[in-house]
Amino acid sequence: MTALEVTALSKTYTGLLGRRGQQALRGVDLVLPRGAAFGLIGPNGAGKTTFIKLLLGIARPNSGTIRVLGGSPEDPEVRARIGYLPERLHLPASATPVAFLEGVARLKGLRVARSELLDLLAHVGLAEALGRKMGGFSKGMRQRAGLAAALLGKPDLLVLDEPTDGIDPMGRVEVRRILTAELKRGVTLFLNSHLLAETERLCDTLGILKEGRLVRFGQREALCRLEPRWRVRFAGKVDAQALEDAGFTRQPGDAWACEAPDAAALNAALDRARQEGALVVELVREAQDLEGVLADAMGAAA
Amino acid sequence: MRRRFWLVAAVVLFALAAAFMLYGQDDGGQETPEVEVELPRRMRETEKQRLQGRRTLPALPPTEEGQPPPRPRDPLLAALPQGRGRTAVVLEANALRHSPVGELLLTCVNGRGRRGLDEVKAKAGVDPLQDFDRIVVTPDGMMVSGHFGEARWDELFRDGHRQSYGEKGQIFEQPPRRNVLPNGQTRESRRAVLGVWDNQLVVFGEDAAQVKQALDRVEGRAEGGDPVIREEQTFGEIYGVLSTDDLLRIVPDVQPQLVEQFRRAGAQMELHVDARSDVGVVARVTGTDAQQLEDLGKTLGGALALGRLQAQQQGDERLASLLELARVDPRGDSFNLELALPLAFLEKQLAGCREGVDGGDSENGSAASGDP
Amino acid sequence: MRPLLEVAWQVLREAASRRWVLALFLGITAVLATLSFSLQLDVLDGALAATRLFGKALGTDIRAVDVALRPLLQASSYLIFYGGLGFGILASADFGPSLLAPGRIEHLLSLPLRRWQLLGGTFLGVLALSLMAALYGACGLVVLLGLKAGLWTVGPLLAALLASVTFAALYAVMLTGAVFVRSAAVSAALGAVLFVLGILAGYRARVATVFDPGLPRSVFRALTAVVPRVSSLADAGAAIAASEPLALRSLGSLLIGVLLFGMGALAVGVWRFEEKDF
Repeated sequence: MTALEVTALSKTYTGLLGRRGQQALRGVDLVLPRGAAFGLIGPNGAGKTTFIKLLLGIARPNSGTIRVLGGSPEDPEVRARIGYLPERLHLPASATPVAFLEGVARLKGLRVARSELLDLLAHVGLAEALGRKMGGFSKGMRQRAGLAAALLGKPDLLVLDEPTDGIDPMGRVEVRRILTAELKRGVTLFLNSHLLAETERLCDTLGILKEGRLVRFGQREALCRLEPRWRVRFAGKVDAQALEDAGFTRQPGDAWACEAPDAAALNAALDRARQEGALVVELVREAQDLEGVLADAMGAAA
Repeated sequence: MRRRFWLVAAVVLFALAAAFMLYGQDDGGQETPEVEVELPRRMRETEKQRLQGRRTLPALPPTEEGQPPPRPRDPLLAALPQGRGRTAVVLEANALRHSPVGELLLTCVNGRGRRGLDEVKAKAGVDPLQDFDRIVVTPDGMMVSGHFGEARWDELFRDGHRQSYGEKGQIFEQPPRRNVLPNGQTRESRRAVLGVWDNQLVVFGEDAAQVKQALDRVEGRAEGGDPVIREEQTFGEIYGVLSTDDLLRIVPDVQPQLVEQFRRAGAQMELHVDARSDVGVVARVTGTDAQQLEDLGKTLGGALALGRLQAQQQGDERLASLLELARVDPRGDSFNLELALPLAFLEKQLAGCREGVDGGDSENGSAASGDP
Repeated sequence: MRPLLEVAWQVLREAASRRWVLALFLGITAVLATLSFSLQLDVLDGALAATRLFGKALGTDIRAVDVALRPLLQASSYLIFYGGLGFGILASADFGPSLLAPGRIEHLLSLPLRRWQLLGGTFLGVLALSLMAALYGACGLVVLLGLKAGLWTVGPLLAALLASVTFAALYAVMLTGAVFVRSAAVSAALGAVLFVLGILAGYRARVATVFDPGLPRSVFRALTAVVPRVSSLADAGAAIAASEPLALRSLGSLLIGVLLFGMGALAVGVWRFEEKDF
């Protein structure tokens, strides 16, 4: 079951009098299964927000097809199953978050008890601001209110455009916790964030968009090119010869490396080292981080 | 396709909108004219000129030193009774005859009425429709001004007595008329005394003394004093002054409470009727007690409102619409009671009378041909 | 239908928090309160005997209350009509652009609503607001005159309804304008231009004589044929308020025409809205 199926999607914005303007997307193909956590990354102007708008029917493609949750994004019934947090959500300044959520619930055709709304607001960390007007909210609080609106009605697909923008580090942890819980519930997550660490931690599938093209797409592990090579640190003085005999090679500093195709080989090497009196204090699998992947993708595309 | 639907719908809706609005507004149709009747509230320029032309009597010498030099006088006004509390109403017969209302009324004069007018012309040498200029009605009698040079007074008063009076006056008296009653007895009834001054003013009186007084006033032999109608009050086609008693006598079915209010206020009415096109009536009510007069104004205003309400309730739309144009205009020490009779209304009112006359004429015509 | 009404309800709720709208209701209340305290009408046997404003006697004629108050009713009707339209244009100019504000329109379009419902709901919401304001003022006037002079007339209410129908046409153009150019100033300018053209269109038969016979006059007639007859409806409202005959062949036709014009303008707006990217 696919949550999202996009084929040859192209979008060119037209200016006044139908003059052709900027080409935002150029033939994007993408398939996401239900329950996937997809992170879309790319530099500014790559077409990420346009992609999201096309998915939601906010903008119309020039060519290509989009199927969301098995239907067209133009269909209100499909959109009823989507929770969306825009990049810059406009909130009514004079409304309280409760009143705002009540309004969104009505527009979504939901019948939600007030207690549920209060729970939801507490869930996103706005329990202390229930009676406050949103005009006085900080950027982080506004994002939380927007996130609550997106979560209303337990959607099947969550499309979040920079959800942690403006939220403090502790808040980001909270948001991550909320989204992890949603993923456990079975929701499909479509995340657009410039915080690569955020995306890396939450998403199992990644896509890199550059100049309207999806230049990288796949499982996070595949994209980050995880190697069968481990970096190990040992406590105190170690017998270098014994470690080399056990299959470890010296690395710059006090680190050692171990090539192991699987867990059994790795543990066997570690056992041999421990028998020689070495005590393991750190074990890290060697891989390329997302920044590196993005940099690679940009370079390759260029 | 769906998007094009909205554009097509817009074009259709605009076309329908234009059609409905063109029909609803009816640009080519006649707008309902607003009823705006000119009311005679002050003397107009033409009336000033008219007044000037009527000052044919030489001025009287001033009674006191230091007074402004007196103006020449209008014989008819000079002949009127003098002093407050009297009644006289002037009908500008000639102007009325040639006004739209006059024309309308003339169409209502049936065959018999026309023959009566012809008879008067033949017998007296006076055509009331042509020779009468003004008619004054007072409680004591009547005066007519106009052109009576062709009048055959001697023929009319063949069995009577004629005497010259003053410089230009003549008085005609007739013996009492003997009427035979059904029981065979006879009763004498006095006949009006007629005074003629300079073939331009005719005075009808109950007795010779009354007529003489009028002629004395014209020729300056009576004591000085303002006539009951002053020159500045001579505007409109009908104008005059009515005392409280005379007013209450001529207006029927006046509530006793209103009569009492009139009396308490010492009210006197100055009447002006403009009949040049629509008929506008202004009755300026003055009084001796300002507070009572103010109350009277309010009562009359209330009575008009009540009358209109009753007319509406009784479905009398014509009366209701007329009373809608009626109002009381308070002016400090007096108030104006204003009424308006649009010509269209009068035409409608008299339409039945005209039809009756037309029908009556044909009947009379056939009768006349059968009985010459 | 439900989503349409929900959007309208949201617009109303939002409007309730706007200073302009609050100022409108406060202004109407202030005028009514001032009149109720300062205007004294002495009625005797159904006739207006005296009128005092701030204790000073006004030189009014003593006539039946409904006749005497006609000028007041007419003036009130014109005030409700033209004043209401003018204020409505200013106060509601921002609703359309606000609906289309970045960050808001994306969120609204992501909700299970059709685009025409969004535009239609906004239109209905603003219309309901204008109707409430007009009826509030008119009801206040009716009650004021009823209590002060015993004159209970529905004339001002009908005038308010006519004003609301006219405003519907004006606002449809304003909202459509906002869809094309997201600007409160443009929206208000469009409303004002149509307002003036509508006054002209009401007197188009007379104004047409200013143009040379032939093509110029025909062009003028054709151009103004579709424009809502604002002044005709204002005159009709005043005539109704004063219980006077209407100078129209059919008020119903005119009203339907004006409403259809509004719907036509809204259809253009929906057409543009449907194809527009945000």
